[in-house]
Amino acid sequence: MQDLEQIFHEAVKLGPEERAAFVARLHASDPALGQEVESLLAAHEKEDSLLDSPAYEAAAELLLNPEPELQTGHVVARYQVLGPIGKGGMGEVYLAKDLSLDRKVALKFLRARLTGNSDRLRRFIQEAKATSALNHPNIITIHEVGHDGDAHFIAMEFIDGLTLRNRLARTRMNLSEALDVAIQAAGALAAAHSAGIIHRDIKPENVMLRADGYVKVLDFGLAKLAENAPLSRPPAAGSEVGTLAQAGTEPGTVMGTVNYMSPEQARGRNVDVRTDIFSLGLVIYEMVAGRLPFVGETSLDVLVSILEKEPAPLASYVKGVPPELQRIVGKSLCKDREQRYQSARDLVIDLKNLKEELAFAAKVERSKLPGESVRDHRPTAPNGIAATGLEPGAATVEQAGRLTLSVKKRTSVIAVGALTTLLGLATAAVLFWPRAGSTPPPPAPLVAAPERKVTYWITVQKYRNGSAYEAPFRLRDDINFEKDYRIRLTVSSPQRGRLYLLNEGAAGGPAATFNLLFPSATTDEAAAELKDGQEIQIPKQSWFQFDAEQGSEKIWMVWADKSVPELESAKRFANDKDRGEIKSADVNAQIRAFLNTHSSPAPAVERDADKKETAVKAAGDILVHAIKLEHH
Amino acid sequence: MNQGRKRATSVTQLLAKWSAGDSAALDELIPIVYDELRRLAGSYLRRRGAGQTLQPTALVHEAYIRLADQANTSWESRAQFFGLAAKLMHDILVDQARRRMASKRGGDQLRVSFSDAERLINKPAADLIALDDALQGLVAVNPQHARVVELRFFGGLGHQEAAEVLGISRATVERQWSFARAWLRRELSRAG
Repeated sequence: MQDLEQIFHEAVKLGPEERAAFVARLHASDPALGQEVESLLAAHEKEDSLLDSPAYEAAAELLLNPEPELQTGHVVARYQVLGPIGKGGMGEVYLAKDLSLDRKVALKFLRARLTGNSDRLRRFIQEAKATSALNHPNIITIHEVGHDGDAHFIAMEFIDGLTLRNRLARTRMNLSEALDVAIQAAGALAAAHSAGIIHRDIKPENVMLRADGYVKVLDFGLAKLAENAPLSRPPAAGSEVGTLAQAGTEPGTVMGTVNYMSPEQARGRNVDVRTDIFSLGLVIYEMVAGRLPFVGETSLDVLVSILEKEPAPLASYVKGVPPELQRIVGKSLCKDREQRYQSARDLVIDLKNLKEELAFAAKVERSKLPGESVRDHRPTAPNGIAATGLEPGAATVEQAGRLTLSVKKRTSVIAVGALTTLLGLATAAVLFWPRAGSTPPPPAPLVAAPERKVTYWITVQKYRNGSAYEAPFRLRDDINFEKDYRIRLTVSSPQRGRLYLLNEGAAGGPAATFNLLFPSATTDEAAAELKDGQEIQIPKQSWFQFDAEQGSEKIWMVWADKSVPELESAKRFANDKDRGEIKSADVNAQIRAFLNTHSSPAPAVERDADKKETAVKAAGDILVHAIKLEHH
Repeated sequence: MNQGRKRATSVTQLLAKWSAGDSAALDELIPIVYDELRRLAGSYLRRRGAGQTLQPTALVHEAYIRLADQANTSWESRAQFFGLAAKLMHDILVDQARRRMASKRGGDQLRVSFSDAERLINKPAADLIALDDALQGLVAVNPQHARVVELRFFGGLGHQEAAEVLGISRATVERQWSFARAWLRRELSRAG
């Protein structure tokens, strides 16, 4: 190669005639070499813009519109990919079917091309194995770590539920729910830490809430092993630099990772168990306040905020936060890790204590006679509240294993001067604690639990030979569509909000493509936001026609209190050329994931046979209902 | 001003940490660098769309200026940063190009014939894949030439900057680039 290159450069320096002679001489002495040089020179002389401008100039668009890695139906080892899990199809986790055990699993991938470095790969496997050894109800179960050729994956328990991220996107969590999640997550951390594993990536995307109330923390062990992880050698300038790792720092995933970083991570220092505690503190903050304390426009702005800014007190975002909760969160978020909780176990204890106290205070509040309010409470005697049998200075009390309180705490609760603390707790309890036996939404003083209500009916117009015949009529649900039926949907709601209608392609399932029926090309921005009591007819002027395919059609109706980003991005196909047909795999995947997420719990559907209309109701800010139509 | 300096400190420290041997620092660096590269790519697209001529500054150089505290960063760190960013761009762009092409074929990876329109839209992706295939061939024969290509083509660095990153002379970079380019062009024309 060296010779070839040298000769090439010699030849390049020559003028055209000399060059030809040079090449001819070369052919004579070494035909193979001559051939090489000649072809290289030809390539060199060619008028070609290849490599003249940097790659990203032509391909910048690739950078901005990433594609998902795996397609449906793809089989990896003994798993068949069913579709991406999570928003936008950009997550590297897929729902798959374990073909030998016939069960659903979640598959997480380490991207092959970027793995190269076997050191990193070995750690990936080692840590996944360590995690699979963890056995705790709040830690996700790992089934297998394997590979199919270059693709390395982890097969995990598939959890049917929401991520905390999804949950946060819905309604504000009440204190009881937030504490519940916090306690379970902290318990998971405590278990992992005692096995020597630090998570390093605690965030709402990694916390799942199952319908039965169990919290599962994901992605354990895709992080560093404590202390004794071997450090790889530094890459010398100019040599192959280290390769890129998985675990949420992969390019193409949402860059939310930095939002939950601790100050020591932002500084590039070593992490330890207290790092996880900081991140969990941020999660608790977000559950209670509805937002993070450290925000910024770019990753760097966020990091600066983490390093320098003091978190705003929770009370500035939400009323009635118990001071104890502020203390716990504040302690978790200390920039100096020496000041934080030194173990997750301590955090669990404090959280549990707080939960007990709030439950207790709520009970006290509820047991009052009607008419008595919290404000009427007057101190009776120094130990007025000591009717419980406790005295200042009492030792740790254990009542049937439930309340375990330190001396300090108990004193502050019953001392007369600190009556306001109890009042504070009681107020918080009333505002945030669920009444026994009732559902979560907070009682009257605050805004009523959000719900979405919508009514719709379908009008049919028969057509024959291209023109309408017979008057249009409202659909009864036993009708079968004929080829010539055309329909119109009328939607009405006592609320205001954003309506979206999507027609799902006949294929259905994970590969479904969608057609945006409303808003359409003719709907202007003003019309897209519906007013309360408004009736809207879709399509406005004409009728929907069915295509020749037989079978069932689905029209998805989404009724939300504000615009939905995943569906807004479909609006760019609402033009005369595309006519609502969504051609981007990315957007289709986003929509699919959105519909899957918000379809459960299913809304309440009531059909009025007399009026021939259907009323749908759902709790929360987003209602998703599928209208199924059969045609033959 | 002060804010900007402090902001840059964390990247600088991560860089220093990484060169001291902590590969976990690399994990922290990557989302930050990637974030910045994406933003810059977006602004390139917008400027191009608006018909403005593209700035001659390399994308990675711009990212570096924005991210690192230059007063306190050694030239070794800077070289590392450029190297990282160029490799990042390379891996990401090619990976995305492959995915883009793969998604057109479906899960069973059968060859499908493309319509002219599809071919046109996916040309940048297809070209990039072809180039990368050829580049992998070059890596096998002479890794340093391939590295020059990566720095210049994916990183957008000039000859001098690439020379600094690699610790070789500018003249060497020019020679290697010229040879590699001829080699790659030849490979691509043979592949057809």
